Amino acid sequence: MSKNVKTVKIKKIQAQQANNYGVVSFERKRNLEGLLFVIPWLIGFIWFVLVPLVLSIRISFFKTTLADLYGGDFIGFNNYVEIIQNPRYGETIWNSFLNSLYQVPVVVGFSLFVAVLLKQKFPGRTAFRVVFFIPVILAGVIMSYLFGQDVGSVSVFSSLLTEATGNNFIAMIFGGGLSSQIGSIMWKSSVEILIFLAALQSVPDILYEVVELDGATAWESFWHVTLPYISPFVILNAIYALVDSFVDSSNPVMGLLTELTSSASGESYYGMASALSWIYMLLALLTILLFVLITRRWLK
Amino acid sequence: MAQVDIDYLKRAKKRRDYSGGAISIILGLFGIFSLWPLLYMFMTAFKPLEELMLYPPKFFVMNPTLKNFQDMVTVTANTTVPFTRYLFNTVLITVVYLFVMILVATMACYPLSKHNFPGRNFLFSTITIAMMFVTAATSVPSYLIINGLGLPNTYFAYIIPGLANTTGVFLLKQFLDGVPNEIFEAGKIDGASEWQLYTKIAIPLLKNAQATIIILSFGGIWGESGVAGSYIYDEQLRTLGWFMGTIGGGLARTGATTAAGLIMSLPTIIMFVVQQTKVMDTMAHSGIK
Repeated sequence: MSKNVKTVKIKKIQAQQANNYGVVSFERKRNLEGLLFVIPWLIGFIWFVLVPLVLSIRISFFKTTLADLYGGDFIGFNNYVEIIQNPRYGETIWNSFLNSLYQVPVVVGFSLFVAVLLKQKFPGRTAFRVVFFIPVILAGVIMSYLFGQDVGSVSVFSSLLTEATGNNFIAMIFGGGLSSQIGSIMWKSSVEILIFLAALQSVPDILYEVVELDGATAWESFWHVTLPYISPFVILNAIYALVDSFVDSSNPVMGLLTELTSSASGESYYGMASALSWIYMLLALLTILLFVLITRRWLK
Repeated sequence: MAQVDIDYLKRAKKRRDYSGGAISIILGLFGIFSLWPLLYMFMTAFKPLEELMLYPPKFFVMNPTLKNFQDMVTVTANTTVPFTRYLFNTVLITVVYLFVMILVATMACYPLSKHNFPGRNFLFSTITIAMMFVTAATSVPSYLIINGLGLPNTYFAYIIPGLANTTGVFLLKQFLDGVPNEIFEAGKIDGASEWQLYTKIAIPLLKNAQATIIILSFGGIWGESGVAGSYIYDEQLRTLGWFMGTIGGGLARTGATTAAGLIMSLPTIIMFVVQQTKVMDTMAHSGIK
């Protein structure tokens, strides 16, 4: 008997819940409607991003050439083994990986420095922000134009110190190498500067007022207020900088890729090119994963 | 008492002015690096051939000349397909591509930011990861797919891949996250449908973000030459960017190439200067949250 009563009660509650779901289902209906909005983009995303990615894994296990894009023989990990064992490929990948790693702290430090300065009040602030934003917009256009010519290995920036300063003793000491370095870091940091600027603007002013009342100097308030507050963005920028230098078109690995896929080498080794990109990509993802795991404790 | 305060303020003001100048100088030094390649491009376009051949290249032009531009005009006058046809193709492709991309990306970002459908977070993390991938790795599969869809040798080959823009969706979503949900709740209470919420609230609020994405992708699609080279066989359907890339070749045409490069990048530069305030605004918000 009592069991029966219980089941009836449970059924009643379930009915009530179902009723409640009736209310919620308005929201659910809306959510499903929202899904309709995503569909056109999702189709494009699947067709032009996800499917090519999956197919490129498949290609990397085959002996694929231009003559035989769909087929070729299944050769397992041979493409991968060949790339790792070939000293030229292996070394290039490893060197450009190390190069990217060492660039990250430089880019992050520099962009943080510039962003902090850009946040201050000083004459011509808006104009300066535009100037520092130029590389974001024009990087592709100008760089492809400049490197499209036969300027060759001489960097655009190497002429800066020697010519702008009129060949004086500063240029003699530092030479063109330094300005090339500064220039390339400057152009690589522009997005990071913007992210930091946005982050710095999100720090509540009241925190600065509080530490100022406590007698903190600007230096102290940077280390104890600003930096802890924007630490998630430091990590975000580090990851961004790493990815950015990984997929940079001036990266030697990109050169290897175009070399493998160009028909100039007689046959286009698409299978090997895919394997090469996947090795490279996995290296990047592993680094990022490791980095996130290490910094997670610092974040929380 | 009041006198003392004013003195203190005066001193404080003086101090701040001094640091402001220092900041301007430091940033100015770095700013030169940012402007340098832009100036370099302008200088190069006006250099006579002897100066273009100098090694290492000099920055300042010594004998400015318009010969490069004249060369370019000569080349463009003698083409198999009229020059205006290339221009028409490029303008058409740019306009349609940007419109389709913005429509699809804004439609996708609205539910991604404001709805809670199943798989939303998974989808967004996929976007973030996909942004990191090397496009060179997927060039072959992309080629197979575009061929499989029957897109080669049509205008669609230029436009359809714009459906898959990831950076745009990412930026728009970040920007919309900063818009309070209450605005949309209010719209719902007033009986707006999802389509109305999207067109009447989300679209106007995302104006600046849309301007940013247009500027970011404008340069790429305006100078488009990759698709024209690999998927288009009909000269009538090729783009200005492709044509400008072909006028090089041969020592005599080096000058024409520099002029063409400048002409091709001018629209992007003008777009940026005109829209820069909107862009700055979006960029300052998209990183937050």
